[in-house]
Amino acid sequence: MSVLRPQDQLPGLNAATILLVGTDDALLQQLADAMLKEDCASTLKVHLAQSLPLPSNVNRPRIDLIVFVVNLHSKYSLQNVEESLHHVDATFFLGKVGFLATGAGQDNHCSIHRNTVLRLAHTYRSPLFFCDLEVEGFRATMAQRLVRMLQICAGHVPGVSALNLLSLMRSSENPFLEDV
Amino acid sequence: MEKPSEEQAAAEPADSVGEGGPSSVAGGQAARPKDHMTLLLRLRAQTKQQLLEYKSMVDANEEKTPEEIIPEKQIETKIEDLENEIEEVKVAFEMKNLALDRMQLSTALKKNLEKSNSQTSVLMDNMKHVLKLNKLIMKSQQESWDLEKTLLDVRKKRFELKQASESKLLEIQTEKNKQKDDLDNMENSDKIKALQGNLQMEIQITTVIQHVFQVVKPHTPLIRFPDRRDNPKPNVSEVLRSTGLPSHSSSISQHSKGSKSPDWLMHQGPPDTAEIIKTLPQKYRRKLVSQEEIEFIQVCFGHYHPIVQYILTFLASGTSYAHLHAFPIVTVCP
Repeated sequence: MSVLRPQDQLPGLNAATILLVGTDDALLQQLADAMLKEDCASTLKVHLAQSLPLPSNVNRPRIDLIVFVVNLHSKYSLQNVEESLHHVDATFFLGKVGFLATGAGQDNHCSIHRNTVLRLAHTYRSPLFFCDLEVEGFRATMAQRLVRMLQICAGHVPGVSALNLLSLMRSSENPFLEDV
Repeated sequence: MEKPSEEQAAAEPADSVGEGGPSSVAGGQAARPKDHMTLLLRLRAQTKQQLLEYKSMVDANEEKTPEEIIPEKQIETKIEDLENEIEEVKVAFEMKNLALDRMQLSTALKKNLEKSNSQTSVLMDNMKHVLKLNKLIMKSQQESWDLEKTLLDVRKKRFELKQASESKLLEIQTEKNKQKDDLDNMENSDKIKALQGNLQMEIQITTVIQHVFQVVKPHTPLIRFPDRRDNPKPNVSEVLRSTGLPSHSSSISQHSKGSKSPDWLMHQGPPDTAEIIKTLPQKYRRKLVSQEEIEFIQVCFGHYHPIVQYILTFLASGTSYAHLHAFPIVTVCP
């Protein structure tokens, strides 16, 4: 399958799967480890990929959450993410996609402007997280957040759905983004 | 290109709820049914939620999207509309949440108040103050409402008065116009013309009658010579006496006719006395008018004005003007 669809497979019992897409393998690995360390009532599965589309020969469970990791230091990661976005079905963007921008701490290394990523997230109506994945503490916090989000997206939290979370998380529009 | 994805199985959670049933039979069998129960309940909740999600997806997909390609702008507007709807629903949800929180807070407060008494004083003071302020607010609102109402009443009254005055002025105007019209009509009315015609006719009649009277009046003999056959020398005083009264009476009756002759008779000059007549020299005495002359004058000139008759007699007798008032004439008016 070239395009990821959220309902291609039936959900596994008590299982939640997250897909991390990004160019920095090391960072992704660290984040995955941090996430797996978190306490969670359901079974967590973390998939890592550099870009989409995923190979179709592999038998994988239903993906509940996709997080695109953009490194503000390299323009290539942004390009990669943008290309990968074409392979995701539109229905995925109803709360099951998130963007993660890393490397915002070192301003002198940043080659991508914050606004670029902001505009990207605004275009896809998806939440955007800023986190410096190289710092341990931030990584742990981020992992916690992602785990909670994954649980909701997988439907393990009664009363809250992915779409609900999306609308709750959306803050009032940023003033400088109104003239996009 | 992509790397083959790695799969990692999560480590079992540290909490007591185990996954599936790690088969350690020796481990607390009493705890297992409880674990199973909670697990089953959790799974039930999960399945319910996932079912709900799928249902909503199915319902959403039932709504057919149009086949033709919609331009991007319309899609954008559609998205914005849907987002607005979502925002509205969220706002409503927030309000309900707030209401619910307020209710919960009030019940908690009530319970707290019932429990502890030492802390209540501050709370109670605060609440009393709040109540007092609320009462003041309500009172001032009521006052302002009353004032507005009175103001409205005054305005209404003023408006009514204005309307009444307007109507009155209009009435006055119409009345004035009507009066003016009546006046104009009156000037041209036929009635007035008839009255004027009548007046003219009356005037004419009266003038004619006047003329008639003036013509008819001289027909009556205005003068008559006294009968002096037996007494040639006139006794003026006797004559005066005899003529005074009738002359007066005749003058009065003449007055009633409207003639001017008695005036002259009334204003006789110094009374004629016999002495004056006797002292008059012979040349000033008038000479006697003969009987034929008297009859002639009486017949011919009896119709004329007495003054004319006087003049004629003087001319006949030849006396001067000085003896005018010594000349007794009896004017008789039948």
